[in-house]
Amino acid sequence: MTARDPGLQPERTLLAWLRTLLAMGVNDCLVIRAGWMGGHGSLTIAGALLFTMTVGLTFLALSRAIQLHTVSPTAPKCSLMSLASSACAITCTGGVWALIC
Amino acid sequence: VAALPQAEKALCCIAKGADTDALHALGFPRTWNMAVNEHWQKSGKDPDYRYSLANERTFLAWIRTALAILAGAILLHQVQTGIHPIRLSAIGSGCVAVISAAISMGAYHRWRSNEIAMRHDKSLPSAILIPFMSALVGLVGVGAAVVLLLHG
Repeated sequence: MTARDPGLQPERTLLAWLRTLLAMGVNDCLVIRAGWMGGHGSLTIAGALLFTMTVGLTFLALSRAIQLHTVSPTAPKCSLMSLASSACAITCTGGVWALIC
Repeated sequence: VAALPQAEKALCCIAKGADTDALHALGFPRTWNMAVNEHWQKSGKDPDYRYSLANERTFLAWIRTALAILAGAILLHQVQTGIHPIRLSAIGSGCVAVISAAISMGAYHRWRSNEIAMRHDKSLPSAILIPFMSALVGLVGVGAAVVLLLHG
């Protein structure tokens, strides 16, 4: 297989990651807001923890972007993807808690 | 009794971390490959990376969709005024939020199945998520219409 110009593929992938993490951050803020407005301290703390998790995932996404841009464009490791989907599921759990409160 | 040797072979495959083709040949459905084979990312051959990256972006799009549904559920619960009984809207929003968690797990499974199929030059597996998603959006739409008609 001849070498291909990666073109804008890595950039589009990075932007997809950032959009996703932004959506996750918005949900974290909604959970924090629900805890704050409702006076549920533990829910507010849970929202803050969710936000911290999203920030951590952002660093992983950035290292993935660096890998795509400088090392080689390959498929991501399954650990990164399972982390991302678990983070989303955990955010959903926080959302359910906000709904119950 | 005839199934016993097959089950034994399958267990050997699982113990060795063999690829899913061997399991499929023994009659296991494709979707059974979750957590069977830890080294699937090394089996087969690397596909054209553009397809891998497109698969990654599709996964992210599913995750975003799940998050958007979740945000919709939380916002509905927070801004709803005058939808009675309030418990009903909380239960509805809660169900939608649980479904969005299921979508995020399904997104990972789908990404993994697509990646395995591409590594082995197979056609992509059928997507149960898509009709599921359409049904969910349809149900939410009908629910919203009912609420609007009753309370509008």
